[in-house]
Amino acid sequence: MTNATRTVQFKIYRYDPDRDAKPYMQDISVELESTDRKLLDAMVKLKAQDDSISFRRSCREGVCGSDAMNINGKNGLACLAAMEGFPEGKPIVLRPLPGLPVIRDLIVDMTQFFKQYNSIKPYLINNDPPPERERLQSPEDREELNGLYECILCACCSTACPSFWWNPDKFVGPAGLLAAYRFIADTRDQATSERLDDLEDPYRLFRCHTIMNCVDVCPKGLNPTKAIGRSRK
Amino acid sequence: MHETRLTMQRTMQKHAGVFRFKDMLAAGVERIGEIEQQVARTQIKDKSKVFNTARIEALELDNLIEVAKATIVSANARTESRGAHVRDDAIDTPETPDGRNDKKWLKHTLWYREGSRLDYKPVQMKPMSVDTIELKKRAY
Repeated sequence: MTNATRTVQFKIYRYDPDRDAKPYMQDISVELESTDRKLLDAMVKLKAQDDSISFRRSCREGVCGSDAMNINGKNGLACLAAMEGFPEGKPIVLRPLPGLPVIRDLIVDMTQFFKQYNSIKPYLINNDPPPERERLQSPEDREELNGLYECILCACCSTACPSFWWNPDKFVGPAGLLAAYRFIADTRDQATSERLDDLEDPYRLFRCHTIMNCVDVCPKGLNPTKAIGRSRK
Repeated sequence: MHETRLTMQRTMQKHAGVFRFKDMLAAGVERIGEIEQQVARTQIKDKSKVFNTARIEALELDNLIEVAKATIVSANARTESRGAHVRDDAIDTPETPDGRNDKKWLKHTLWYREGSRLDYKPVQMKPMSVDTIELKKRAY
């Protein structure tokens, strides 16, 4: 691999309520080296040029879920988006996650997202006295939780979901429903029927119309639609 | 800001990385001292009061350079190998297993920001609730 630099064009959604009357798209380009493998590497260089470009980022390896954004029209994590995957000669368009209030540039207010997540009680409910050691499960029962527990709460799925755009206050959304099913499916959890009763509502669970945008965008390859389907049974 | 941070990161990687060398550590202390002067002169252009990540990163850099300095000055002073601090010039002998010199260096390093100085304090060898673990050569 050569170490040659190349120029990449960007169009970035900019909005600073302190300064701007309304949002606008900024055209900006950046010199990249072959070692700048991911979109996040490019964005860190962009921020070195213009330190007012604002976005959340932390672990830079797809674990923290901070740098979720709308990349060329599709939600994803900047740290997992390979630069070589973008079509050459076209600007990369970056926008904040859709459907949530923008605080500034690519930073959205996640309050509504976490409100829905918290509403499903995302913790184990078991009223037995705590055992000496861990609460055990059979390997088969533990297997049931695969594809459910890996969610990093980046909000790519819920903000790609038209049902969540429409009713963010009433529909739990794919991330919350995946987490709900994670505890419904857990043999150690004793609140299964309460959890199901709580979801038995025209909005909370049943606003999902199996559009499957959530599955399409999930950077961890999870399937909220499947979990929602199982919760409905 | 970005350049200064990158220089600091690369200096720490090069001079106080996984395997440490006497000369490299000494040179690194000098370099980090110079970079500290640069950090004091960094500026940010973003003056916004809303979610100003440039300001956050500038404040983080102030803390990072302090930690870098504490790390490299302490490592340079500790002329032995111990745990993750592995020095090339610390030799494996019966008295200093794997380069670990308990006679001289079985003590905690304390870094003081005021006056940029080091101090040491003894290791508590008699835990309150469990038995003392005897010193011996690491076998794992």
